[in-house]
Amino acid sequence: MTRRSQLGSVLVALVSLSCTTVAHAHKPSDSYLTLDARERDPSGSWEIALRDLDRALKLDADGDGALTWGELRTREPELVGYALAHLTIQRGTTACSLTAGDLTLVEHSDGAYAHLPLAARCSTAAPLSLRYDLFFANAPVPTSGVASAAVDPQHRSVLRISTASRRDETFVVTAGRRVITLDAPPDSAVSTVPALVAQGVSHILSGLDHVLFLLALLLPSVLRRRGGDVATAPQIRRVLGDVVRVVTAFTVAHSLTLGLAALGLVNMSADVIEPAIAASVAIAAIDNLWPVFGGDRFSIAFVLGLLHGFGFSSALSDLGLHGAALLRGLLAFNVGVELGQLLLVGLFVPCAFLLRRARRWPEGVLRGGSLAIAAVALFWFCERVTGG
Amino acid sequence: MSPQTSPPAPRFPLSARHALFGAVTVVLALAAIRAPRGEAQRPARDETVVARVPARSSVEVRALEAAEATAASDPGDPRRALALARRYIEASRREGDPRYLGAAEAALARITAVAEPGPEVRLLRATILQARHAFDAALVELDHALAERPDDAQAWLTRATVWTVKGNYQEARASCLKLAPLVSPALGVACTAPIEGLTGHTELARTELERGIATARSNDERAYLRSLLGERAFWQGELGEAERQLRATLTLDGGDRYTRALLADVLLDAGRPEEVATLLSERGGDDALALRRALADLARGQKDSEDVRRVSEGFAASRLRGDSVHQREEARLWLARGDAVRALHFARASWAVQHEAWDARLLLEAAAAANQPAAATPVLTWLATTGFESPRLRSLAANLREDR
Repeated sequence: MTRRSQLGSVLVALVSLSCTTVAHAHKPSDSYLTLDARERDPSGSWEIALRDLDRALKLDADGDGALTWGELRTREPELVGYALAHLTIQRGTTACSLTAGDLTLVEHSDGAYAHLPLAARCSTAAPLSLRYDLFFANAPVPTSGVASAAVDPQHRSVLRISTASRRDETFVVTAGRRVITLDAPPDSAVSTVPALVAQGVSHILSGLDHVLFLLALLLPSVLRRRGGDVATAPQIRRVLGDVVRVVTAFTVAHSLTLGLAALGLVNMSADVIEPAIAASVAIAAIDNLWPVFGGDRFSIAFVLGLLHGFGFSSALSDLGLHGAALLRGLLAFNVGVELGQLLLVGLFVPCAFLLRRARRWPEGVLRGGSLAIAAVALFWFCERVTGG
Repeated sequence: MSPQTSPPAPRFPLSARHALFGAVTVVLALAAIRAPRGEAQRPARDETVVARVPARSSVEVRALEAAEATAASDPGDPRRALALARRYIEASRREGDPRYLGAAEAALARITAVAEPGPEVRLLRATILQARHAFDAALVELDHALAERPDDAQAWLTRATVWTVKGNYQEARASCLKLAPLVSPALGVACTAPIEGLTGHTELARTELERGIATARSNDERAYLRSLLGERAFWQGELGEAERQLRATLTLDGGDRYTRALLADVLLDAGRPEEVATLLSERGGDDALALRRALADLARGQKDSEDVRRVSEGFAASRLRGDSVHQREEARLWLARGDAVRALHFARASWAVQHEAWDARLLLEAAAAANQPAAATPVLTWLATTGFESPRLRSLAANLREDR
């Protein structure tokens, strides 16, 4: 704002009217359209400012400036119809049928937005294109009964779309660019499964906290406790049995919570889970030094593994999958996590078994390694708690 | 976790394991409770207020709707559409709400759909373009409008403003000269004084403004010139004098959001952020005021306050849609948040389109904070050529020159 952009009001001798109290910042009109078009039938969501919808549909029935849920809810079918009439998704030259789920509300910096889950059904797998006319003039779709005041040439829609070949592309739809044409359709859903498996593998291998947790649990596997002392385990069968038990406990636990979170059955705060995962790594490592939990690594792997599953789920939810794609994605991602874990075990166990008789194994590796892991994990914990 | 080493006791107390189970349960419960619920949801009660919208029962909105109806009843009459566009632009000024500018543009588009734009349409288009920082396009519209109607005071004033923002004081002065015979002496001063201030004639600006106030014919004029006096004092580093003038302005016109924002800047520079909250508490919507509230929060160490979050989100959303009108404000926010590199990025981007005192100050401060004195070179040149008087900017510039 420049000072003299205000001077116009002095020239025309405008009476200054007191501002209304609003808790939100103002911004130009935007909507947010998110589409997952990797399958033939795209799905996604559309967020439209209630402020803009009110201008078009006069939702605030009593005109008091406070739009209530009741006023909104009773007009829901009309609102949905209005929105859908201004959006066309097509494959090739055939329009897909478009439906919206239950209206919910989300907050943006300038106030509440209507959130509409979208589902399209397409009859072909031809390339996708989209036509967006909401709040634009000269919309070719029927706009009967809509106040002409609802037109805003400065309206924008931020379209985020994933297709088979490109993930999460962003387009800005404007009055001058209402048609967005995307590339070729998915040949089949298989193409995404290896990608998700790879995602799972890379997640566990690059997520150092999971690797260190597993390592802390596996370090003592080639050893045997005798009283307060440790000795090397004599037989490979014993070692393998121990490893399998620990890894299975961890796998079952994190698969369970990964599934619960990914399917949306439980919703966990990352602010709590992330430090808790760091703490779990520290606990597993400290238990190797002072076996406060009785060195019962099976229980530790299971109980703390529950936390790690929630950690995996945030990586999966970042991919933004829905419905059947989510289930398949969940499976593929989890297979990837297990493969990555297996790779780690496959590298660690033979080395450890071969080195178990080396003179310094028990102290040097078990104590030193556990101490190092605990230190790193405690550092992470502090970092994550303070939000660094 | 008790770090005691147990003596050779083979059995460890079961309670430790129970404690672990318990701790994990507590963590999971906590995580479930703390889970973000702000995601999508349906309110449980019909009475819940879900959004604030312009109240259709209010005088302002009723007037807008009446103008809409009048324009719609005779779409062929350009005067009706013009009146509507003017009303929307006024509403946008009053509320600080850019959504009304879109509506104004739509009203103007109805005219241009059937006829060549006349000077009135071009002036309003220029006003909208200026608000969007499309300065060059605004100047094109203004020059067209003035070619047809050389006695349009508002057009000359807007032209002076845009050239000042762009840092071309010659063109700005020329516009004020054309304006002077068309308006009261006080408004003539309102046009020239800021240019005098920016070009180093700060004493001249003050005497002109004081004389202008003495001859002002209305409270609006007096309030306006007084706020310019306050702004001049702010850049001179006379914070006490600035505060006096700006508070006096607000007693004349309490709804002047620009002056309120300026007073907030004075208080922030004076290290009195707690007073900013009181000053701006009742006034929400405007971006400029929200930014000052966020800066006051940051100055008091409240890094995650509601206003800091909302203002940051608003900037992000604005960038996402491709706007660049908030670069100056974003530079200020990042500087206050301690991210000098980002602040410098936005300060540079802002300087590329506009050369006002704030743009100069932010580029100097960001360059110093980011330890990249070379980035400030264009401002050092600007200070040398304009002779802009500001102790704060002078000392910043002197330090940067040494570092170079």
